[in-house]
Amino acid sequence: MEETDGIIIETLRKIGCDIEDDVTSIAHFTTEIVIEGVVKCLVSIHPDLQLNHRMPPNLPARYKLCMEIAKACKEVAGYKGDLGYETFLHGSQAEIRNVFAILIQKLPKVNEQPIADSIMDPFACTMGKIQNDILRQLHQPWLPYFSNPSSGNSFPFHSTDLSKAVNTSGRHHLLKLSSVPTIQLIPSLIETHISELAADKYQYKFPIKKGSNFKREQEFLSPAQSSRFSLVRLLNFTDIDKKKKKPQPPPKPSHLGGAPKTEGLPTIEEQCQKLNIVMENLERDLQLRQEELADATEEVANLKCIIQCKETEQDALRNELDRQEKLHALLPDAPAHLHRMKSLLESNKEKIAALEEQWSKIKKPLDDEYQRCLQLQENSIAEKFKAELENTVLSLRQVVKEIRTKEDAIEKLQTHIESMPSSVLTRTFYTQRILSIVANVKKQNEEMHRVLEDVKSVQREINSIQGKVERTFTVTDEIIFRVAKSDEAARRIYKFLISLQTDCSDIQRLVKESGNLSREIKDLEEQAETELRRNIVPKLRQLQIDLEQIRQENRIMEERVNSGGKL
Amino acid sequence: MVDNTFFELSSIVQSNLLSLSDNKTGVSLEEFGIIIDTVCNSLAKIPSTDESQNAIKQLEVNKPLGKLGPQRISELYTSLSKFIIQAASQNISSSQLESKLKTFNWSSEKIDRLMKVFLVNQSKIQAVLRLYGSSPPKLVDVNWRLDYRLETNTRGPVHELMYIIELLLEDKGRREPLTFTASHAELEDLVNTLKDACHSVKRVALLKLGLQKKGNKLTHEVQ
Repeated sequence: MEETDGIIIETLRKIGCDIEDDVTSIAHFTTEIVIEGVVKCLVSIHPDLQLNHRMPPNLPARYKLCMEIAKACKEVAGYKGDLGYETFLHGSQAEIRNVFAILIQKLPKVNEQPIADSIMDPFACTMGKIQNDILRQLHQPWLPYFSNPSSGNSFPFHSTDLSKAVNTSGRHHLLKLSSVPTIQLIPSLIETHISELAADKYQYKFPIKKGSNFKREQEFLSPAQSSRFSLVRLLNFTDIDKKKKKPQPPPKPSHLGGAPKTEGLPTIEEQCQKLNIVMENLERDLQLRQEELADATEEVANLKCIIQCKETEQDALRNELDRQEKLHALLPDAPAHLHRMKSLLESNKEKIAALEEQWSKIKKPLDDEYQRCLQLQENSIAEKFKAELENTVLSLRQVVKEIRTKEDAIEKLQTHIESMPSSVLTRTFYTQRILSIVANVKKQNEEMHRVLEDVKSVQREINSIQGKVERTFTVTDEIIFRVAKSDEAARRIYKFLISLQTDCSDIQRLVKESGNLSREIKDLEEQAETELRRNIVPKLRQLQIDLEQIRQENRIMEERVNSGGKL
Repeated sequence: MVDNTFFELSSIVQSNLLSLSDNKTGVSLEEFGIIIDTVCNSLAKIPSTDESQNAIKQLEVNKPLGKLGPQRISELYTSLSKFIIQAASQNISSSQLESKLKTFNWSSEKIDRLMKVFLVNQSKIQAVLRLYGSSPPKLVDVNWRLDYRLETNTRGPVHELMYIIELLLEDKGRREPLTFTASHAELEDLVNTLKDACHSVKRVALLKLGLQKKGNKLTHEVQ
C-alpha cells in the first residue's frame, strides 16, 4: 500500500502537481490535491481536454467539474466501474487509489512528459517569456532614438495601501478608494491583488483541516501575515495618507491668556496629552521588549552552540566508553586473550616479513632492468655524439689543409705576377684591339651587304625597265603596223620607231658591254697587283743567272767529257 | 505561450466575482453594465492629476447603484478592475477569458457584456498599463574626442593620449550629458565589458531550461 502510494505521489509530482513533502500516502490527500492530480493526468493523456485543475469555490461548479472529470475518465482512460462526482469529492482511499493507478498506467511515455512540465511550471514559463522577449529584441534592427515609438515610462509605480481600507467600516471604504489619486490607482490595485495571491498561497501551504480549527488558524495566520508582509509594505507602499503632525503650539501661560477659553477644549487637549503620554510609554515598552527579544535570541544561539559542543564531547566519550566496555568484557578471560593476541601479533609480524621478502624479490629484477635500460639509452646517445664529434673534427682538418694549400698558391702567383715585366701590352690592350677589329669587320660586312642589296635592286630595276620597254615596243609596233598599211605618215612614224628601237637597244648593249669590260679591267688590275706583290722579277733574274751558270757548267762538263773521250 | 494556469486570481477576487451571479446578493445586468463601463473607461484613460474626473466618486452618486451600498460597490469595483488588469496584462485570448468567466457561473448576457467592453478597450488598457514603471535615463548619443596631453601641473611633462567621451542621456524628454575621460586601455576594458554583457544576454536567450523542479535551482544559479 505504501509503495503504491509512493509511486502515485512520485508520478503526480513528475507531471507537475504541487504536492507537499509531508504528504506520503493517499490518506493525506485533500480533495484539491485529488482533483488537481486527476485533471493533470487526464490533460497529459489527452491534451485537448479543457479542464480546470483548481477547484472552484462554490459547490455547483465543483459538482460540474467532477462530473466532467468522471466523464473524461470513462471516455479517455477507459475506467471500468462506477465513477461519479462523489468518488472525487468524498471518495474512499481505495477508490481514489484505483482511479490514480489506472490513470497513471495510461499516462504517455517519458519523452512526452517534459512538455507538460514546461507548461505547468510557472518559473519555466516566465523564463520562456523572458527568453522570447530577449530574442525578439535581439533580432530587432537598431533604430535611432528619435524614431523610437515607445519612449520611457511616464508614471512612476507608486501605490497606496488599499488593504487598510478593507478592514475599516463600510462607510469610509469608498471614500478611501476615490481619494486615491488616479496616478496611483492602478499600481495600488495591482499591489493588493498580488499580496492577496501571496496570502492565499501562504494559507494553502498549511493543511487546512476541516472543522473548528479553521477559524483559529486563520486568526493565527493574520498576525503572521502582517509580520511577514510588513517589510513588503514598507518597500512598496508609499503612504500618502499619513498626515503630518503639526507641531503643537506651546501652551499659553494662563496669566497671559486673552479671551476666556471655552470649557470643552481643555478637556480634549488634556485627553490628547494623556493619550500621547500613554503612547510614548507604550513605545518605550515596545522598544524594551524588542531588546529583550534580541537578547533572548542571542542567548538561544549561544546555548545552541554550547549544546552542539556538548554533543560532540558526548559522542567522543561514548566511543571511549564502548571501547572500555569491550576491554572490560575481555578481562575475565585475560591470559587466554593475551596469548591469542600475542600469537596474532607474531603471525602478523611473520606475514609482514614474508610480504617484504616477496616485494624485494619482485622489485630487484625490475630495478636492475630499469638501470640497464637507462644505461643503454645513455650509451646510445653518447655514442651518437662521439661519432658526430669525430666526423666534425675530420672535416675540420680537411678544410684547414685546403685552406693552407690555397694560401700557398696565392702567394706563389702573386710573386710571379710581381716578377713579370710590366708592359703596355697587357691583356686589356689585346682584347680591346680584338674587339675593335671585330667591330670593324662587322661594319665592313654590313657595308658589303648594303652594297650587294643596292646592286640587286639596281639590277631588278634594269630588268623591269627592259621588260617594260620591250612590251611598249611590241604594243606600239602592232598598233602602228596596223595603221601603217593605210597611212603614209604612220609608215614614217613606224620607221622612226623601229630606228629608235634599234638605236636604243644598241645603246643598251653597249652600256652592258662597257660595264662588263670595266669589271674585267678591275679583275685584271687586281691580278696584276697580286702578281706585282709577288715580286717575281728579281727572282726570275736570279733564276736566269742560275740557269746560265748551270748551262755553263754543263758545257764545261760536256767539253771535259768530250776531251776525255777523245784522248 | 500564456497558459490558463497563470491567470491567477486571489480568493477574495474570486469570491467577489462569484457573488455577482448569486441570486440573493446578485447584481442586475444594468448595474453590472454601469460598473463594467466605469471600470473599463477609467482603466483605459491615461491618468491625470485632474481629480474632478474621478469616476469612482461618480459611481457613489449614481442612483441606480444606490441599493448596493458603497461598500459593495467598492468591492465589486476593485475585484473587477483587478480581474481586468490581470486579463489585459496576461494578454489573454477571448476564448480563455470566456472559459474563465464561465467558472464564475455568470449569465451569458453578463459574459457577453464584459467581453464586448473588454475587447473594445483591451488595447487602450494595455497601453495605459505600459506607462507605469520606472526607467533610468537612456543612452541616446555619444561624442568623443581624442586629446594629447603634453603637460600637467601635477605631473609635469606627460605625453599621453586621453579620450574624452560625452554620453548624451535622455530622461523624460530632458537631455543630460555625462562626460568622462578614459585612457585607451580603460576604453577597451569598457567595450569588452559591454560585449560581455551582450554575450550573456545572448546566452540567456539561448539557455535551455531545466524542466524538472530540481533543474530550476540550477537555472536560478546560472542567473
